[in-house]
Amino acid sequence: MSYKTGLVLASMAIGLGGCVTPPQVPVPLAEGSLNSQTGRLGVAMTALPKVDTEFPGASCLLCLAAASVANSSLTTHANTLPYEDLPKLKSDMVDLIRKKKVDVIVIPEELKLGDLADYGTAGPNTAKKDFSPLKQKYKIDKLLVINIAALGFTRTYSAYVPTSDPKSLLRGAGYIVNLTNNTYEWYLPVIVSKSADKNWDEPPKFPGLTNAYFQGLELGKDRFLEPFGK
Amino acid sequence: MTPRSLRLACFIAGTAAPMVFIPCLKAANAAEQAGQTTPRLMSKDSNWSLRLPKDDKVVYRGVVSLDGAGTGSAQIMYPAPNAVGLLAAVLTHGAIVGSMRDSQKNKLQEAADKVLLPYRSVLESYKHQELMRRGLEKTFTGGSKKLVESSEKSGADWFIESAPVFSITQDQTAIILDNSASIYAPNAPSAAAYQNTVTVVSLAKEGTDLATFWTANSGEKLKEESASLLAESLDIILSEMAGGPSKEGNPYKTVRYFEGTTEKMERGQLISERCGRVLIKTLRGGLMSVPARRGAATAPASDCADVPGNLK
Repeated sequence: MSYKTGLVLASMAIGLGGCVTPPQVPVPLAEGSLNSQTGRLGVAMTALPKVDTEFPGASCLLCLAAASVANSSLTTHANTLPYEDLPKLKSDMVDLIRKKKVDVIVIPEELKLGDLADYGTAGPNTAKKDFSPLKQKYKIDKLLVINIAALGFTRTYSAYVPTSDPKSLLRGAGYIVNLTNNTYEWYLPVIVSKSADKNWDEPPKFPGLTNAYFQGLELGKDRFLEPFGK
Repeated sequence: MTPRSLRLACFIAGTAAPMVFIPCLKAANAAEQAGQTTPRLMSKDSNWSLRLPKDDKVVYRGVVSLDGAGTGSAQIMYPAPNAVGLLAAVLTHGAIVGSMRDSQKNKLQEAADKVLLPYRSVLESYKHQELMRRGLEKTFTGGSKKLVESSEKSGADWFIESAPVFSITQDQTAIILDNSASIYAPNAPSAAAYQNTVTVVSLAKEGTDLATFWTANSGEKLKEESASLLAESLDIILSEMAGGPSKEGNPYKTVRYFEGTTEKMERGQLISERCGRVLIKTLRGGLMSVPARRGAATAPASDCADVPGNLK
């Protein structure tokens, strides 16, 4: 590799690296922060994703195609699985928070994060989207968001080769945004992944993995609710 | 009894007791479809024998979690001078990763089995003969019952083959039994009339030195608890054979329970919930008896004496 080629590649790496946003670090819920003085809190959920499969590590197009074909029966089965009572999570959350004498309401419609504008000011624990217009819209001071981004099964790959058995997956985040300054007062990334208890490869119904999926739903709900049950 | 006469018997029995009719008729239909002439249901006072496994040693393991198993998704550049070279490289990569994954699972199980170290001397002396003798004494179901050698063939009694595998939780508070059992009808040794796996999770024990609790007095507590779990599993499977409560139409739900001090969940159909125990049919079709969650309604002890799932 010539000196010039190396320089170009290094510049590209620095440039691309600069585009990667660091993930939001967890923000614990301050003890006693939810009480009758909290102001009005709205609880919203984003639309639940399709129950599906994902294959991290199968990064080239051909690798992804091979992984998709190899796991097609699992994907077909995943698409048939229900959300169970996951859509009820926000009302469960409201019931729990109301016990702390907080003025809390359910936002009935699905929150569309993509419709929100980007927030202009960057800073520690500052939300990237501008949630402030929701203050007026719902007459609330703070917004609790439950955002479940991925649901179903995950199987890691190294190019064409699976490096793990499939496992159930629930990935998302819960957060409270103070609508006055658009900052997080609580931020909890949630990743729950469960393996089948014995054999996993049992098409077409995949009972072991289906069991793991429902275990993941329960554990995921617990993870979101747990900070508010204390 | 032919399927036709079995169906007639079902009809007569069903007239007197409608709950008997559907499972009984299903059994008759199944027998007809399979071309069998053996009865599918055993009566509650039938005599039965439990055959000892060929292997003398009782299997115990440590409870293992494979949630963290996997070797990551590190990328690889395949040396690929041509399509054949690429294929060979991918196959080699696959073989290496497959071997690493198997090795990792074995290592996780070996690490989990370390929980058994304080129990080694007790477990080495605990044989199927003793386990099954104790277990048999604790069962409720059926008329007379006896333990027979592994070489014994089925005869005029119902005949049960059982392959119990026990696991001890990492906190040593509970024991779990997975019992794969086959039941043979009288004089029908060639094909099992019923096969299933029954999982039984014991109640969690409390204490600071549980290894001493289980192993004291030559492991009496461990042996008794294991035998109770075996008895429970046999009662459950025999109850199933005797046309236990129907569960085909029951809705699926995720049942929460405690395995030792760890909360667990199992998806299945609820069969019964009584006397501090919950019996479910799992998604694999197996039967599972677990402790009910704290706060669940309990019945007076006198009502629970004959409940499969109520550990003796």
